[in-house]
Amino acid sequence: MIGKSISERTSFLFSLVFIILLVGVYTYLSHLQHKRNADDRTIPTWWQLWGGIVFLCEKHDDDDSNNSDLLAAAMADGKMDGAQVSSKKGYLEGRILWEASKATLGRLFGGLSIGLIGGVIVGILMGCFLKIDAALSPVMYFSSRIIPTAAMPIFFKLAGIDMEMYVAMIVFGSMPIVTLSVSRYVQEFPDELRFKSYTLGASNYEVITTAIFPYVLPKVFELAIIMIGPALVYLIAAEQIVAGEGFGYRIRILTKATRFEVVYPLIVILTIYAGAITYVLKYASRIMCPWYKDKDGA
Amino acid sequence: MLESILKIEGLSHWFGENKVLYNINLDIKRGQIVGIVGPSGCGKSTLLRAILGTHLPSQGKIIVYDGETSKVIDGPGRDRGIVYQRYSLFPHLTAQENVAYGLMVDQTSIPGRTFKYLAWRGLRKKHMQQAAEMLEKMKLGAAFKKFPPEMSGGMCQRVALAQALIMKPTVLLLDEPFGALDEATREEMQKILLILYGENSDAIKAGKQPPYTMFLVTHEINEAIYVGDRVVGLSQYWNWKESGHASCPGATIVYDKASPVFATKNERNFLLFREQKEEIICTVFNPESCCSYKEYTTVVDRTKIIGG
Repeated sequence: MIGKSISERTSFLFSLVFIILLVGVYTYLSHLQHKRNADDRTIPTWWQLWGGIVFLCEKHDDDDSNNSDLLAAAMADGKMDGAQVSSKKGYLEGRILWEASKATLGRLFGGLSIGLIGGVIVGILMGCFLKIDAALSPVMYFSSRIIPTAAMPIFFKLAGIDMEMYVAMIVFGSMPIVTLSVSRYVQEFPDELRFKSYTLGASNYEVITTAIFPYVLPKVFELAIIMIGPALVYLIAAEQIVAGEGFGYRIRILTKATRFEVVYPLIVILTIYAGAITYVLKYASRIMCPWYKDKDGA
Repeated sequence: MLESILKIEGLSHWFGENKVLYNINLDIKRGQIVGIVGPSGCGKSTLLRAILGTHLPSQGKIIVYDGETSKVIDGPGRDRGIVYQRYSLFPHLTAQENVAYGLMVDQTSIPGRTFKYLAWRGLRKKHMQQAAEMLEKMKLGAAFKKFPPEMSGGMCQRVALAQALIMKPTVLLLDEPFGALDEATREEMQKILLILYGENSDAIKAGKQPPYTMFLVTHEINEAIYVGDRVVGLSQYWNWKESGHASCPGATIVYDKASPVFATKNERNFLLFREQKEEIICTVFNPESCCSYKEYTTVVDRTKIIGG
């Protein structure tokens, strides 16, 4: 029957079987590929993938790891399989995974935080005051339809290629959507609750901060989770074009060098980061909004 | 003679071409529980919203009296409490916090709560204690920490009532408050209102001001008679042709009489007010009825408690 419920154990078993099946298919394809070409790296073996992870975690010289052409050339020649001693003193500095994570996550957090906070503030004002809504909504609608990756050269020109450019691009990509969504949520705030707040003695500012903001907060968390995907798309695309560090940059140069045993772990790690941020946001929503039940009952 | 607490003077209301209310005049005394009944679409809720201040009248005015001062209603205000049919509780607050919310926003400000945090903590404790006492009075002792989605309709409505009552409003407006409840819960809630009425009676006997004045909009005639001490019938079926109108200019008051008052310890006996109920049906709900609205502008005083 459609929609028939299953137990958690059955659900887990089905998931596990499918993952094992995928791993089996990958292992078989990798085996076939390596029978044809023992040095192949497009479908790396599990051992090669482990080597890729070790490579990401080892220290590399600043000059080598930060110069795309040098690094790509060195990799293509196979001279960088092993670890090189980094001149950096810190434990984490010089390790590709750390440097890429620091750069990408820093840009992501910076952009998303500003986009979300700005979007929530402007959205609440638009939802509460119709004059502000009338003034801003046409601009917000238009901005929300612009594809940030298409406007990337403009960002390079206006904001350079430093941190500001990435943050500006994520803000530009996320803020109009967050603003319009929050404005809609605020307009859905029941009139009866609004009127009741006034009869209880609340001022306009108190209605916003003690009634409307808590009402939209769980939906803001949901929005933040939804916006992680698009924000990462804008960021990785920009990093692949102009960055000197970050996941996008690393994936580009390693792909150029056909080092897929490193590229795949990078993509998986990036996915894990996105999943971890999603989990943290869901957890924060559960702690901060214990009354809220979403469609899944979470 | 009890003092006037709410006066409606020549109130008419229309939405474009749609004329809803016509020349409503009503004088509500302190301590009265006024039940408003009328056919569907006669404008009962519009009248309540006009008193609340969210839908200001197209013509006429509403004055709230509080001791020496009086105020023409121009928007929702602290002097009027409201209980809606759909509970309307803050979903992010527990039952206790919902009841304490009004005390917080009324007695403190955001800068005060932020910059005088320790003083605010002390006051907050006091507010929560007051909220707990009010919830106990509503027989909700076990639900202090529950959020609205975790409570039944009856529990939510008691919290909503406690939330409004704790603020001691000049007039409490009840917009079909028990319409969404089952029969048993509805009866329990009605008894709570009768308990409050009993407190009014005790206050009068002790020579004090009765603390609760209520304006109850309901589609249940039994409820209006049972809970209220005065029933006001609003209807579009009246002799507007005789008044020289080409079409109905809106609903007006066609019935305004005292109703018997019941003590909570007595069983509800509908036979006791069958006669009044039939009179209301005949006068207010009958399209053939042609009452003159001018007959019903008198002020009704409290009646003695039946079986009390």
